[in-house]
Amino acid sequence: MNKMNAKEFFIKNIIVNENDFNKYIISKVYKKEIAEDILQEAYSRAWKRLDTLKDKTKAKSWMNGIIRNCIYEYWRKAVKDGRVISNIVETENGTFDLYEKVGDETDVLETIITNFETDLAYKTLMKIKEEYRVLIHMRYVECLSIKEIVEITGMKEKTITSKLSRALKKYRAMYFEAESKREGGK
Amino acid sequence: MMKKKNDFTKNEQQFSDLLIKSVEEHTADPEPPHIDYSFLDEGGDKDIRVEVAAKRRLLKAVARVSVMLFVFFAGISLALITDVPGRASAWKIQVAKKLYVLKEDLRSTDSDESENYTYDNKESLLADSVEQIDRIKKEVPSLLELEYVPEGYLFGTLKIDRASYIGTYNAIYEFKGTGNDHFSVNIYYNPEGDYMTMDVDNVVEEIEREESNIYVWEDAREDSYGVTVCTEHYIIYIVGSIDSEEMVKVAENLK
Repeated sequence: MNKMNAKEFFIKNIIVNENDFNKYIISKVYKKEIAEDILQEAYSRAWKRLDTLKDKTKAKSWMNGIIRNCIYEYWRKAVKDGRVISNIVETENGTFDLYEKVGDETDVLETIITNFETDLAYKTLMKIKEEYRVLIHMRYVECLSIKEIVEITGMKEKTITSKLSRALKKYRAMYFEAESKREGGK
Repeated sequence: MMKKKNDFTKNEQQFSDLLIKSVEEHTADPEPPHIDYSFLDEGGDKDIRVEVAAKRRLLKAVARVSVMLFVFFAGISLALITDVPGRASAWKIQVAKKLYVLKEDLRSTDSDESENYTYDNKESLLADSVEQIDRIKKEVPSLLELEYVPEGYLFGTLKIDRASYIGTYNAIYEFKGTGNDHFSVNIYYNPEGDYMTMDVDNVVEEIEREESNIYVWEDAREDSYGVTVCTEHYIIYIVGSIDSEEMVKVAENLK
């Protein structure tokens, strides 16, 4: 058969893989609502560009490419929207400081590693603000280098390093806060 | 699956491994998404051609193989008939090379469509003479060129790292002066970028221009200074031994 109705083709070759697509997106953005928005947008783009799919037997991998593109766009937007206006940063004890020590995350990570609990780690990641979640995901789950994150987000290396440092400190603070609340509730 | 990253410290690698495991465990079985499929009704009655492209490519490849095999056997036969062993070997080598190219070509027809979206599709371009900049400019038309270079400085190198999928690139012009004097112009380009509103840290002077402002910054902690320009698609950093006034002139004359 050389011709097929586009809608039928889309359903039988693309939407049929919806569970796989959803699982993939969730593993990159965690939040169900965000994953749905990304999948909706990816479907819409794929539908509009269906004519550009050269080899119709590769519909699933073609769609995966579009989804990846949408995820990169979401990451870029999430990190950019949360950028700081000046060098003034909030310190861990709630006061404000003009500058922040950046680079050495040894202590921050060590305390988390020693007390690492899978459930708590994931719950904290879900609760932390979007910008930090995306940065921690890109760096430590996707294992992207700072240079690669700079490329995706279009931000300065120094800004990314600084934000990542803040993200880890905030993550640690939230992690131990949740842990102590749980301990207190026992 | 544990991912290894060379630029991770031991703690970072350990944290990364634990975090990946945690994410994998919690995202393994998500709820089905709620999707609005009404977009399918926009132009849904159109027809599309299925599998024709793949068939056409296969036929083309088969035809090419047939022609190559014909050339191969005709060449070998001709060389053997004329009894010139050297020529026969030369034919074999040439044909073997062409067959190898053909094999790679055939393999590429089966490639995964998703390769078109590979984020890591990067390449580097290098120019170490002014003439070579023209060559690179043809490949990268959006590349900015310096129309002003401070006196006493000569062009050293231009290096471009390009991510062809995203379309971004990072270009670094290096200029050398006498002794250890030097300066560099670092241009980051993003076709989808909108950097007009980007923040610049430690600004000591802002030069307003119609198209984009020029920021002169100083970082006392790192004992450094430089000039930054953010336009719609470019972020430009100029650093080095030249004074900030010269940096501004360089920035003003980037076209």
